[in-house]
Amino acid sequence: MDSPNNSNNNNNNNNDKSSANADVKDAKPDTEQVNIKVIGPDSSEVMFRIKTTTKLSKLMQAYCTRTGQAAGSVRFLVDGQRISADDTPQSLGLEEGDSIDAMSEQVGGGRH
Amino acid sequence: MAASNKRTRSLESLGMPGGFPERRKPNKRRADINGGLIGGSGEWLLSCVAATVSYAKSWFSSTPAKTEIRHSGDSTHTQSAAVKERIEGSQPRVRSRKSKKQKRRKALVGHEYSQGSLQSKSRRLVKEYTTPSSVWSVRDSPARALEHPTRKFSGAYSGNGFYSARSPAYSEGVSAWSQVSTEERQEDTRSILSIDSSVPDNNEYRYTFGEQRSNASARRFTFESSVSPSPFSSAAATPVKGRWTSSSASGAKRSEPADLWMAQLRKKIQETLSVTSPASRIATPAYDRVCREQNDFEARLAQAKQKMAFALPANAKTVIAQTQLPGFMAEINNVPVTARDVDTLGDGKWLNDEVINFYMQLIMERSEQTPGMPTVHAFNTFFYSTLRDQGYVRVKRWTRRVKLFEKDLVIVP
Repeated sequence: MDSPNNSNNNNNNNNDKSSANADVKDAKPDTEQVNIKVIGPDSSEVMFRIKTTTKLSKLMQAYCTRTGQAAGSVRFLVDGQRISADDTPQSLGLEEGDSIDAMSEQVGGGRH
Repeated sequence: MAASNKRTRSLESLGMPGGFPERRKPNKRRADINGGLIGGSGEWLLSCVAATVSYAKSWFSSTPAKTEIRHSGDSTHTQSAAVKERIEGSQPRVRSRKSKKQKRRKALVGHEYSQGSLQSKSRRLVKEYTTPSSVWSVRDSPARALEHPTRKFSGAYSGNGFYSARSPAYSEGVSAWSQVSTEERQEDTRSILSIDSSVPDNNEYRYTFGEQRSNASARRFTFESSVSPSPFSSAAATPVKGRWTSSSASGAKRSEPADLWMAQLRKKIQETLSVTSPASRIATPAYDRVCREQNDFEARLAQAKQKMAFALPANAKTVIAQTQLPGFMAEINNVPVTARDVDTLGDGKWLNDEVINFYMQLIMERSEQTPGMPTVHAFNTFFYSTLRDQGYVRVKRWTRRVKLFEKDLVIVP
């Protein structure tokens, strides 16, 4: 709980320093890039470096392509919540080094 | 004519003037043979001319030669004009042996429309503008070219590419014909075609074009030529230098005819290409009514659109795009169900994670929206498997945004 607060404060400070304009405030830090790791169902980690304003659909597609899975069979979770393709790291509050869980489809029938 | 028939046939077979219009490519071997054959006998020259004239006659009799240019004589004048036409056509080819530098220099001369500039212009125009009744139809029939209003230039232009004068035999024939016809002009061409060998040897062709008029009945063509002393032995090396002058009795203008011609052509092209709006052309009551109805309809449509205009929610695009996905059915909190997921509800099939998760979301939704219901939090189907396989570390953040201990019920599927 501490880290997000700190980072938020930092962000605000940066914004205040960088520009006095309230309109530009949101747009300025958008160009930042964050490293996000995607943890697969087998604990394998894939690192992605994306802009905070990039839609995560791009990341999802890249992950599915890299791991060779069908896009419809992978569920992406952030803190246990499903994310949509239109979310961005910014909208989810993802920080540097945060992780996205990639779960493969679960089907009943004694698979577990 | 009858005496020279035999000779004519052999000459034609050898590519001599009798057959020259069909010959396009130079044939050096035959040219050499011709050079040997010529030998410089006057009888042969006469036969050569006779062959040319007879060919022109046969050609003209085969084509419906409507001649709008009326000469003051009988039909032989027209034929002679046609023969002249061909020889005219031969001239630019011969002249085109000039060096590129010369041509460029001439093209740069402003109002002196030397041959180089005319040629390049005409070639460009042939590429750009091809009209059905173009002047270039002279290739098919010289008579048609005579009909054409721009015929006055046809001698300079049309002959350029269509009658190949590259063949040495052809140019030999031309010069032979021209020389001999000095003797024959009284009897055959009646001085419509006069040849003057004393023209100064200037390197430029000056094409003077009179204005074409239908009533220009008295028209005289003059071909002035300076032929090298021995044209038959070295006709290919020494090009025929000639000069055409067309003058009408009415004393037409001669100032910058190429400019005039270009202007006319440009105007014609513009007229052809420009499309006037249908409204300006059609003015029938029915058309007016249709136009009015169309305008009324458009005005009402614009009004209706204005009425219907409302602000869409910010995520409207996304929602619409999602519904366009194949099989998309519903979504709560980013948990979608598709037709494929719903299909797992069928008999004898196993449910998948999406169905369960969606159901959990439905329960949570209902508890939130309905007053009096117990507050519920449902983990998703991945919670237990992740906790079981990878431990608490992986799932410790999953309840970060949820006040779990304020819930009445916690469901772990």
